[in-house]
Amino acid sequence: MEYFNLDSGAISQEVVVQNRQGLHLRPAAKIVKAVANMNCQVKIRKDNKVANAKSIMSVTTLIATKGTVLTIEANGPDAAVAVAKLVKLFDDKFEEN
Amino acid sequence: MIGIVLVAHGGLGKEFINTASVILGSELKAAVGVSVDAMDDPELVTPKIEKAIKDADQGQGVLIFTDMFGGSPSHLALHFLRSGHIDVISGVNLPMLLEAFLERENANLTDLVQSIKTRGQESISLASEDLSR
Repeated sequence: MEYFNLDSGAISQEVVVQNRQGLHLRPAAKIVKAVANMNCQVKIRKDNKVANAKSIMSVTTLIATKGTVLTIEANGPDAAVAVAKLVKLFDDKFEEN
Repeated sequence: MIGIVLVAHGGLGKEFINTASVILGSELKAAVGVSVDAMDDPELVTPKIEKAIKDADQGQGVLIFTDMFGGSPSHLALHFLRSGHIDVISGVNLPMLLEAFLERENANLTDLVQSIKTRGQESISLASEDLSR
């Protein structure tokens, strides 16, 4: 999976939910904490549903189980760092299993 | 950082904070739960709330959550309402509490309480409506 530019400063990347329990509350909290203070908008897309990655309620509404493909989209000065941080969280299975 | 005080019946307040701490993966600073039992003398509970507010206050304001508007914890907490510095949200649920902990670092109290109230209401979901779309 590669980064690609959507428009000026916008970055998007696909990830797969790999941890057994999916995006439950603890992984969602890790996502929010990773990007909360970053100077960019961060969204996570599942089909037609779009969640604000800075809101735990919004992230959990995606109901993303193991194997779900999601797209992270970020726009703003910290977009690249934010996407990289989230990709690492998904790749590390949120330090679960 | 905005301090958070949770005033609720029985052990609810402290358990909400414990549960939020487990989910967020860290010990929560400036967060205090106050237990109110049905037979408690209000004159004994009020100083406990006052101390909790003092302990939670970091200078940027304190948000008091209570379990239910109209209940004793709520009645007692409302006495501490102070425009711009202490506000009270009744009917706490876990999503709104988590959002408050995640956003309180750089927020101001007036904006935070409006956002948390709205999102607490939006967090209530009826499965037969919301999952069948």
